[in-house]
Amino acid sequence: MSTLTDRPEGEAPTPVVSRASATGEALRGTASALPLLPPLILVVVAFAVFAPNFLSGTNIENIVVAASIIVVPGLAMTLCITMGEFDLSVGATVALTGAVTCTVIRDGSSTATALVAGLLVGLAVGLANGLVVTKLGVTPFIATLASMVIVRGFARAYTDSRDVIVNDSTLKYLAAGRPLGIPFPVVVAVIAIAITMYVTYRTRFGRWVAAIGSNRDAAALSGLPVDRIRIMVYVLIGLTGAIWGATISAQLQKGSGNLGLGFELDAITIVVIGGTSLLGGRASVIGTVLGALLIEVIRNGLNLLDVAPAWQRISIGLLLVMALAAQAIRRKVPLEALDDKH
Amino acid sequence: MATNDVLLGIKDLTVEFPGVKALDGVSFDVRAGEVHALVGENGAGKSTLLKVLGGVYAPTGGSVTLGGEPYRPARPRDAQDAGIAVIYQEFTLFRDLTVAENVFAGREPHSRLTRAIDYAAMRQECRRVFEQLRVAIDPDARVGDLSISEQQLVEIAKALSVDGRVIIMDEPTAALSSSEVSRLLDVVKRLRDEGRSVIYVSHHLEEVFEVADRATVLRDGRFVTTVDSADADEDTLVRSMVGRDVASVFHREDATFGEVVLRVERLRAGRVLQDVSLDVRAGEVVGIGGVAGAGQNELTQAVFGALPVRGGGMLLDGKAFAPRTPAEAIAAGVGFLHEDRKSAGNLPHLSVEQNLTMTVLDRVRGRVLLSTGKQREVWSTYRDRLRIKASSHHQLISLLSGGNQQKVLLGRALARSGHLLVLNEPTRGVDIGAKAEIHQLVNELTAQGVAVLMVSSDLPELLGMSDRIVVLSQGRVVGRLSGADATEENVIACATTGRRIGLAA
Repeated sequence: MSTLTDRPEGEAPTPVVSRASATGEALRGTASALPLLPPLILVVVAFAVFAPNFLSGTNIENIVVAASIIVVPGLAMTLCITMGEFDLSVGATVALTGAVTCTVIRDGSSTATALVAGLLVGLAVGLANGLVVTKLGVTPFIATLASMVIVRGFARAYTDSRDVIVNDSTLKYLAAGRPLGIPFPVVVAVIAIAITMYVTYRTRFGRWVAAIGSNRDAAALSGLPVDRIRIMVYVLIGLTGAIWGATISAQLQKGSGNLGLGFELDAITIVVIGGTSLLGGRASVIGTVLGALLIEVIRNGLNLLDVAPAWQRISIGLLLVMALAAQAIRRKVPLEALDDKH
Repeated sequence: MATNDVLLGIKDLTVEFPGVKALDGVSFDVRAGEVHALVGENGAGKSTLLKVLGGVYAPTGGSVTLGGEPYRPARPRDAQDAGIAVIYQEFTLFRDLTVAENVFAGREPHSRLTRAIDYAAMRQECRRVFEQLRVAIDPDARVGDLSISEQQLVEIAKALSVDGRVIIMDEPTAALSSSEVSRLLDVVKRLRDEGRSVIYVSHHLEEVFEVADRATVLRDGRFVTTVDSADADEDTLVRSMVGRDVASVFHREDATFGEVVLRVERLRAGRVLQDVSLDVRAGEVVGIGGVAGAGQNELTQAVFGALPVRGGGMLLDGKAFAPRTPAEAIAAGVGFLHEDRKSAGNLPHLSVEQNLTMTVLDRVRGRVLLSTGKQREVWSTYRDRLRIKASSHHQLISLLSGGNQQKVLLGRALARSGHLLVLNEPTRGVDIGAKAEIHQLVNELTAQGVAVLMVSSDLPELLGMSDRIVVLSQGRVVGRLSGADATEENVIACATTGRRIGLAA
């Protein structure tokens, strides 16, 4: 392992060239995602060799669609983790919003009304999370762990623990529609990625999210609207959770209190393996996109190889450990560098 | 020069926290276009006052006027909008963001329509501010990659860019080398000449006398006096700060030295340290001087096993000494007091006792568990020996004053080693009373035969406390000063002009 300390004698310290331009910042974010490329290529090649039909057009589309669905909440989670926090309640939000959407449709209202209802519920969950962490000062881990349990409970109570079956072609469009031949979830994901890139690297909101993650006290002393930004990020997670819920319900044509179990960990996993630091301050939007692809490639390939779901979970868990270990190694600064870095 | 117009009027200002009156009926005023120093020991209420002015704390009593109008900031943003810029002692920087992003945090120039930040304008404005400060810092550098003194300058740039009518600086020179200090003081004077008011908080009275038009003294949350600095001298100011007579700088008594404890021979380490040789004898204080970054930190870190040695070597008590980790250095008997108490020294959530016994846990062990009695014994030994003021052994270290925290850490260093102490900026950020006491302690320790290697950027301290001074420049020894040679002029000349004094041919 090469570290700063083995630098050959006499060589000047590497100047840190960092550009404040948005493109530069985006490049920096992208650079932290680069370590993800070799494993991604490796698993693609491995599955191409061993898994039948892995490279077929339909299968590739399946992977891209699955990654597109997961990446949208992953983008909101990227902002949250950049802020040094995370939200465990998004999986439960998927269940509740999906259940609400399907129930509203089943009870005879229009699909649009149902979708708006789902989004409003997602917004409400996000707002509640945001208020609890900011105004009540509960740490995000505990606050969103509690809301994960509460929201899941609501979803089950609301559905009476029964599936809400619908047959709605408009809703189905969310999952299977093909405007201009492109799967609808991919369209949504591309728009969401573009907006997130812009917001993260170009706007004050994005800088402030990074500022809060870098030093929250300083952010407050600098006059940043810290609480408002934090609340907005939780609201974004609630809203993208609702989009996720609607899409999953559209795929399955049902709502259920049991949908989205463990989804919060998927959303966090793609962000973390994408290189966004859990310590906050540094976002890698492209990393989240690659993380989503990597996870879905692995899931898909293991499916094709008939690997049991339990083993899929184990492999994704191992992947998460490796990603975090890689972050820790990159962060390990030799003590030499400490004297001028406080 | 200062006019007599009151810009900032502070009347009967009181701030109460549960159980503590941090400010108690303080009244004074700051004129337009003056540098107004605020002095007092730690705990005198200076920081609280600044936080009221900065919109962080709401006063529980009294009032503030700004330009005749009532001034009641509800949040930091209000203070900025009113033209009051505060540079806090604890840096309020974002390590992950760039210099320009830090300078403009919360006030980024941006397009109304697209919400996009105008990076070009931000960078240009940032350059302009740095030109005004006459420093060269890349607006695009990441703040986490800068040195402490550069970070301090970023803080100052931040205040300047607000275009404040009142600029408040809390200990702005704490982390700066002497040349950087004089540059900063020039900036302060220029700000005043532009008609701004500067409230300047400092423990360094020589700075106060150099830049301040007037000085207000606080003690225990109360107003003591406001003096014209032309009419006052250091002694009277110190007396009103402390409420008693204290030597502002401790002078060492003549000591007798024993055997060489640490010998450093042609040491090369890290990026900076090129060639340093020196001896430290039992009972001796060897002071290391030089501008910031001349290799002082590398030297202490090499001794402490925190920096790999690339050439040369060290002997401890005549035996080869090449620690690869701090643990090895500690085991060999080196006690270390780190430069940055907060990030590398104390464990804020632990008690004073736990902090003190941290390095000697193996000696306070019972058969299975740590022995409460033995820990208490170590604690009370050092509490008495170092005169640590704590309410009890389980008081949190973070609740002590800076000086007492430093004493606990000194105790920790001593508890393990006993015969070689490496002190890096031992009195940075501690108040005058505690400083004198720490100096007194060092004197007592050397009288007991402890050898001390001390890095200090505080020249009076370096001169007053060292038996010999080794001046470094760019990682090499450029001066060996003792006795009559050990003068401020010589240290500065060696450190900054490349003059060489006292080197064997």
